[in-house]
Parts: sequence; C-alpha cells; structure tokens
Amino acid sequence: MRSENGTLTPRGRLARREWTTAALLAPAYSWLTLAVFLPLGAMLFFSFLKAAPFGARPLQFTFDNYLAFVRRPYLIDVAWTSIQIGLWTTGLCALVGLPAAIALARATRGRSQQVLFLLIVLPFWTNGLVRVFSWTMVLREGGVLDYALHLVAPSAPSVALLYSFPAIIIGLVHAYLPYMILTCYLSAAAIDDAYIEAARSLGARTPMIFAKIVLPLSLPGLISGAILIFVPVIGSFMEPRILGGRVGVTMGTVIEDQFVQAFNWPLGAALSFTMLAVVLIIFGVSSRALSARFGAQ
Amino acid sequence: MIRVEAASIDKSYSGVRVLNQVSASFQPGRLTSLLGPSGSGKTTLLRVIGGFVAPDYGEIRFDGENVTAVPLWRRNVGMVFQSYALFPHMTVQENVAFGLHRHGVRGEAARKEAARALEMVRLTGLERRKPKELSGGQQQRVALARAIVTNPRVLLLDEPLSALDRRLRQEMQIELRHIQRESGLTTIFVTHDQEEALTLSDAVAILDHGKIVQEGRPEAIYERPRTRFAASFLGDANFFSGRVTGGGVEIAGGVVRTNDRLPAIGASATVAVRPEKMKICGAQAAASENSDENRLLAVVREIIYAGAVSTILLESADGSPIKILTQNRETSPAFPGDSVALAWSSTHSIIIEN
Repeated sequence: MRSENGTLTPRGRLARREWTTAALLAPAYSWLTLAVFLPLGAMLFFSFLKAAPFGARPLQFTFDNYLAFVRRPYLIDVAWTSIQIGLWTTGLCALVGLPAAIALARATRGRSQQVLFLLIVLPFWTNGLVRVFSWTMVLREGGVLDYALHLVAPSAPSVALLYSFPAIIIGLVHAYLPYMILTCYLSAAAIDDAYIEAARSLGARTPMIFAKIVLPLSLPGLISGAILIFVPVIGSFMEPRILGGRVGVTMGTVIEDQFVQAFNWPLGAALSFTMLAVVLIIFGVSSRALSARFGAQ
Repeated sequence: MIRVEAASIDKSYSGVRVLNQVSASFQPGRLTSLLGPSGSGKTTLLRVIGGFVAPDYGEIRFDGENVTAVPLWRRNVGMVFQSYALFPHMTVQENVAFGLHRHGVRGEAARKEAARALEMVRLTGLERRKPKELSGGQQQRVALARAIVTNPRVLLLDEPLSALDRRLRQEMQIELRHIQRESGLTTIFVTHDQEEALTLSDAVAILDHGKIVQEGRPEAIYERPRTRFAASFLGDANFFSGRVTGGGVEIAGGVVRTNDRLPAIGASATVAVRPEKMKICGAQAAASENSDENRLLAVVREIIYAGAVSTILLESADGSPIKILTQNRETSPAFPGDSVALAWSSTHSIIIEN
C-alpha cells in the first residue's frame, strides 16, 4: 500500500510488519502442526475407536476407553502412584536444585561457575538408557552402594534399593534435576545485590533475607522448573520399569504396555488423554492459587 | 543526632587502593556531600561508613563509639541506593514496613510509622502499589521513606538523584533538603554533580584518588579552593602560573596581585580566578592606580550566549585560554576579535597548591 510519492502509508507499514511477523512464525508453527498436532489429533481419533485401525476391519466408534478408570479401579491406584512419583521427584528436585541454583548464581563466578554448570548439564548429554542401567549397577544388592557401605560398616545389613519406590525417585531426580537448577538459576541470578544489602541494612539477617527476599524472587524459576519436571515425570516409563521392577507400575508403563504389548492403541490413547486432562486441571488450579498469592510478579 | 567519624580508613580492591588514609568528620544533623569524579572512592567511603564493606584499616565511629566491627544488620543505617533497590515483590507499604518489622515494630504501630514516613515523602495513598507501578520520582521517595522510617543513626544516599531527569532532580533536591532538616538525621550524600553538592549540602568533602582533598562549607570551598583539583571540580576556574615577585605572581602579560599569603619570592606559584569574578573593562591596557585591581589584556575568541548569562572565551597574550562569565544585563560588552582588558579584584586571586 504505497502513496503516490512512493512512501509507505502508516496502514501499509502496519500490514507489512504483520506479514514479516507471520513469515517469521510460519516455519515453527507449520512444523508444530505437522509434528505434534497431527499425530496428537490422530491419537485423539484412535482413542474413540474400538480397536486399532489396522487391517481391513471397519471403524467402530465408542466412548468405552474413557471409562477405563471406572471399569478398572486398579488404574486409579496406578495413577496415584504416578502422581506420588511426580510429587516426590518434583519436591526433591526443588529441595536440592534451588539451593544449588542460588549458590551458583550468587557465590560463584568465572571459570569455576562454568565447570560447575558443566557438571549439572552432564546428565542431559548422557543417553537415558545408559543412565538408568548405571543406576541398577549402583542400587542392586551387592552393587556399588552396597559395597561402599560395607567397606565403611561391615556389619551393616545389605542395602538393595533396586526395584523399589526410592530407586525410581533416585533415577528420576537424577534425570530431571538440571531443569530445576537451570530455571531457578535464571531467577536467582536476576536478583540485584542491592536488594540483599538493602534488606541487611534494614536489620534482616541471612535466614530472614532468604525467606523474605531470595525465596520469593526465585519463585518464578521454582514454578517453571516444577512444571517442566512434573509433567514428563508422571508420564515416565523407563525409570519405573527398569529401576522399579514390579513396584514400578505407573501410568507411563501401563500406557506403554497398551501400545507395545497389548496392542490396544485406543485404550493407550484414551489413558494418555485422561492423564493430560488431569495434569491440565492440576496446573489450572495451582496456577490460579499461585497468581492470587503472588499476583503482580 | 549522631556525629560520624571516619579515622584513617584504608581500602583496596584486588591490589588497587581505593581509599588511602581517609579521615573525615560528619557534623551531627548536617548534610555532608562526598563529591568527586568516578573512581575517587566516594561511594566506597560511604559503604565503609554504612558497614556494607569492611575497611582494611581504620575506624568508623558513631558519637565516639567504634562501630567498625558492628555488622550491617545491627548498625542501623538508612541507605538510599542509586538503583533504589526497592523489593519488587512487595508493595510500597511492605517495603517501608520491612525495616520496622526487623526492629520488632509490628501490627498497628508499624502501620502508623510507615504512614508517617510516607506522608513525609508525600506518597500517602500509594501504599498498595508495587514499585514497578510507580514513576522514578515516586520510587525515589519510597526508597527514602524506607531508609528513614527506622530512625537510623545515619542516613546514607548514594547518588540517589542521578536517574531522574533535570527538572525532577531539582524538585527532589529541595524536598530532600526539607526532609533531611525535618528528620534531623546526620546525612552523607554521594554525588559527582557539583551543582547538587552546592545546593544541598551544609558541608562538602571533595575526594580525588582515594583522598579527601578539601572539606568545608560549600561557599568556603568555592571561594578558597586549596588545590587545582578542588578549584576545577567545584566550579570553573582560570589558572595563571608564574614566579612569585614582591608584588604578586608574575605571569606572561603582567603581575597578578593577590591578598593571599604568597610563597617565598622566586618560587613558582599558581593563581586561580573564578570566571564570574572577572569582567571586561574596555581596552585600556594600563592598570589604574587602584592597587587592588588586576588587569590583563586578552582577545575575545567566542561568546556563548545562554539567556541570563554568557560565557566569553578569550586568549591571553601568551595564548592560554581564559573563560569569563557575565550577566546579560545590557548589550554584549565585546565581540569576537576584540582586544580587551580583563579586570578583577586581588581578593579573587586565589593562590593554590600545584
């Protein structure tokens, strides 16, 4: 839209900016549509079928798959196990990750900070299966942990954590801790030193400064870390299966079984979407509660 | 009201000496400015006094009591930071009440105290706002209220007005002066702005390279600077260097008379003259018989008009630049290219250390 002397009219300029924005966004959103929404849409479609749509069988629609939790009450226990794993893992990551992030952000700099960061990011670069199987070496009876303990205290009873609830949590915390440290680090590093000095000059000692200044200002990082961890953890199946053994029956493993073992794709898809709904409800409720408490942040 | 003293303070950061044997005394209830260029150590001195950093050597005393080892949280100083450092997650009310809570004042009493402080800085009604919902000037006031609400032993201000625009800054200067007088707090104010130091302070201490160059009332420093640095940092000055003779200091183009005590005859000396003390008086080269007056020939190079006043740049016989400041009461006394005589009273010839 050009005026007669060739310059862009304000309206023309606006339209051009919109086009530029659209052009910049297009590749990302087309890829997301293709790679995420299409398969997700297909899964949503499957979840209303009676049987997986393979072969020449006619399509039969049903709502039965979504009644799984009513028909098979043991699934509620399984879901509760998953949520417990999610809460424990997220909680422990917060408990370990937040202090580490604050220490990294506020007490280290330069080369030592880089090295410490590398150590934190290392689990990201390790293959998941390798990581989990290394933990079996450590946690099994007669494993590294057991051996080390008996070197120190020969008369101690043997520790066999493998195939237990704690083993699953240990594996998951190891895998997901970096998320928590990185998100909390970003929040903690943004805290101005002058806030701390101001609080101290007003009579606050270190514990009070932590409770009233550092913790509240790190909260955005803590919350995003919690979301980043909780969601994948309650759907995880590798750690529960390998480190949990018979204990490790979670929604993740049940859903995986439906796809890989039972070949009941519709049920697996329906369970996935049910879990998704539960997660969304949990975050809807908690984000509302949090924004009421820490509104203007 | 507390007398604050710094005695022989040394402070180095990674081998660089920031404060070098600094001693200063801050009068009770007065506002003292620490004035100096960046890197002069003024902020470090303020932080040492407040207890934000420990000195390597020396003592800080409040009313004679040595507080050097008293930790920041117990020293009870009010600090206004350059960035204000308001707690972003707290409301104005919570920010101001924070210090009260730490001093054991709670509930209704704390609310009242906070309200009184906010009234003092004229922010009543904004208690529920968050810092980011306030303008720069308002944030500045909250920071001030937060610093004075606990009735600190000393109020410290670290270039608090530097982030404000010129108009707001002048307004805040007047208000700050008012609040300081009202509260009667011994106040130390760090600034690099000479005009601010002159308008605000009961006393000024000029720092350079980690040392206090001169301290005293603003007019005392302005009228009788002791060093070249003090003369040029607080205000403007023309410098004339030469040899001491019987009647004054002999420079290219004449002898400068002064009422100051002269160094030994034959020694080299420098005279400083403030630009507004010099005036243009026609083109007569001959000094009148009036022995109080100095005369110097110069050529006008440029006239910078600024409404009420003009700055006239000239060049003396030996080519050194001279700057004078005239009030534009009448038409311009000279034009570029004119040869003129400059006149000033010998009381305004200040002998300074080199």
